[in-house]
Amino acid sequence: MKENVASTVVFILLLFLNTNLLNGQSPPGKPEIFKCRSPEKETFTCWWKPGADGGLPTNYTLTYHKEGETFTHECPDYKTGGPNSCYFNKKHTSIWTIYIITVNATNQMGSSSSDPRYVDVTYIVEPDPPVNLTLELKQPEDRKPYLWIKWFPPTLVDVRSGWLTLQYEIRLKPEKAAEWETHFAGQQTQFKILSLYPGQKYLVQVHCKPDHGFWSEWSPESSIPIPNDFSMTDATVWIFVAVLSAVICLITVWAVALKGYSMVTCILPPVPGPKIKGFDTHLLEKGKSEELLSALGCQDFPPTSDCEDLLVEFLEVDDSGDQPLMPAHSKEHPGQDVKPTHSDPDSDSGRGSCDSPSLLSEKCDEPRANPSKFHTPEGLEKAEKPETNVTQPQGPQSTSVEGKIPSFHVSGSQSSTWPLLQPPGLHYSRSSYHSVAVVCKLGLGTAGAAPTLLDKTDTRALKPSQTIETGGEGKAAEHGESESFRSKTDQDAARLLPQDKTPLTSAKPLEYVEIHKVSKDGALALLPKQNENSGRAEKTSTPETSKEYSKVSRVMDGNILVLVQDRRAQNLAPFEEPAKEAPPSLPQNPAAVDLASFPAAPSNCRLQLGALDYLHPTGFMHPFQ
Amino acid sequence: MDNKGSSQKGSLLLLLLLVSNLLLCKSVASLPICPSGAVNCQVSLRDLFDRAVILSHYIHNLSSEMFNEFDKRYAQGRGFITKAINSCHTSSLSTPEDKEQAQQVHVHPGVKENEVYSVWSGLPSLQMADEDTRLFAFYNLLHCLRRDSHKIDSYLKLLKCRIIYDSNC
Repeated sequence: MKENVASTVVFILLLFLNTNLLNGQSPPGKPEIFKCRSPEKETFTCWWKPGADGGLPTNYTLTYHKEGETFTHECPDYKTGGPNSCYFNKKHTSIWTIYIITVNATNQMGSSSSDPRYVDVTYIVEPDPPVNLTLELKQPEDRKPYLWIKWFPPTLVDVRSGWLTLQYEIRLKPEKAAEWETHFAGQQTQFKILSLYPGQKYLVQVHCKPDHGFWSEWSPESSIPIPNDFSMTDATVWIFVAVLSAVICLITVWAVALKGYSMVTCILPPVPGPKIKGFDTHLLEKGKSEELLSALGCQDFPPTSDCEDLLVEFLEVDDSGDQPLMPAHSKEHPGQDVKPTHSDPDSDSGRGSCDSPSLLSEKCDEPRANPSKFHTPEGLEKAEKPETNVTQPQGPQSTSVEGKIPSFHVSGSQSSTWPLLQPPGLHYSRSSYHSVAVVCKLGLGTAGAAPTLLDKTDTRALKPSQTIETGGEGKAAEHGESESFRSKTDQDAARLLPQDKTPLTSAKPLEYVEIHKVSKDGALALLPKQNENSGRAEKTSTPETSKEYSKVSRVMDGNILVLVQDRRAQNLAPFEEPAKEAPPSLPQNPAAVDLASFPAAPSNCRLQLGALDYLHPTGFMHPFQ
Repeated sequence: MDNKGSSQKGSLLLLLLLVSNLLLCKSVASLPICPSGAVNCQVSLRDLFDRAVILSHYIHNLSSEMFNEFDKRYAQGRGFITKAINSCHTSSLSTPEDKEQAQQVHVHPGVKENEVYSVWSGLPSLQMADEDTRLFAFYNLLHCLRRDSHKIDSYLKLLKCRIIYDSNC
């Protein structure tokens, strides 16, 4: 029985619940307080959002309790704030106090409470917008026109006592514009706008913010039309623009002036003028051709005064006492060259010709047969004997040591010049060969053999020379053996022969001092040229009667060789002339001229000694023929 | 342990921020009122109040920023606000709680009753090993600092407007 009652009750209850459920009624949903705000930090309002009401009328109550208190209060005003709100007036508002606020929703079915919201009025201040926004166009007489905007703080906010400090911000725009132009106004309640477009209607708004709160809403728009004659000209702007433009122009001009040339050259590079390396136009203007050409690197063309130092004059010993060759170039010793003082019959005298053992030959283009002379390059390398002075044995010419002329004045009768060496290819006729071109490389190959060769060639010094007249054959038949040694040197030495041999073939017997041999250190062993006749006839004996100036007594000025006879030449009969000095002769090499003292180092390439004078052929030819 | 390290780091950062802000406060009113060595330096009350208001305003701004940063970063979902109710050590001090009471504040220098000291003893809590406790200690500290700095700022502004501008700011 009881069980039946119980089950019946349960059934009824379930039915009732189900009925309610079928009706859609339920307890209210949970409300939510979504905003609490104080407009002036003296009152505040909270708004809640109700939950589902469950289909039944739901009653909402707001309860709260304050920090530090225990009892709960209910919302004092549900109306002022609107629906679902609670307004706390000044009496109920405590600053710097946390409120714990809860909203309860109750309906027939049940009730629900919201989550408690912790509210501190201090931090929820959001004032109302400013009021009484006024716009006024002011156009004073002497100043620019402007728009004057004025407003008042919201009414509720107590700014006078300093309870709240407000800051304002305005914004404006032409009516049709899309973007607002915002200006911060600070704590002032007025603002001036200067830049306005005439003929448009402007809209203005303002809002405010407390010192530690949130920005208010924007005030309602105020509009004002700007008349068309609203002049906005500003002379100051134009003056500023003009000054700025002037400054920019000045800077540009200054920059161009500084860098203009480089810019122009960068864009339009200057056309390079002709330039010869070493060519100095100033020297050309001054007319110093020598310096000019020397700067260009022509050391010997045309001959300059420097080349005078290396002049090797033809030593012409004329037995007949004829007028000597004209040594045109010898500036320092013109007199010497002219005076024939040689009295002794000098076996060396003779004319320059192929016959002569000297080096000339223009008519003997073949390699010269004076290996001895042509040993110069070799001798340059290996002369053991240091240079010794070889003075002019005869006469005053010997004093030429003082001069700058290489004093190859071997013959005593008169100053004779012989063309020592002439670079191949120089075909001009000249009376004196001023240049001793020693091609170093020529003798390098056989330099080692030079000393030994020299010995052998001593006896045959004149023979090769004699063979020259046979057509300038550089190779003497009778000196075959020596030829073999000297074949190379001959060929090399041939180049050393001055090309111009024609003028030397003078009818007058001239004595030429021939380079007898070249010692290993490049010293020239000079022999006085014996008579052609005697030389030819007695080839073998020529060495005995030959006078050899193979000693360089000294070198003057670095490029003048003073030669003396070498008494101790092994294969040579010493001259009667005493040598100024008699240094011990070299066992292998009679004292030889050390041509290494010439400016061009013999070990280097071309040793070109002295420049070459241009001489008139007639004057040149005269002494010879 | 990572949480502990990060929270300690956060606490340290906040402390650094606080200290640096307080040091920066000097730059707000960098000029001394009276140059050192000046004997008869007379500073107007207006200037004094202006400077005081500037400083108090700035300090409250910093405190509020610190609290918001801390709350956003470390206090979410922990329910610290619940525990922070009535936990400021200065709450025992009787201070005005609304505008009317605040406007009744009068400054009487030298009166002993105005010297009320409330000792803060929350330092050990800041150094607790337990992260939750330590974080709450920081939260509470920053919460109370924000409130008290706001009080000071409000009182000074009220005083300024009343004394200097005769309640006509």
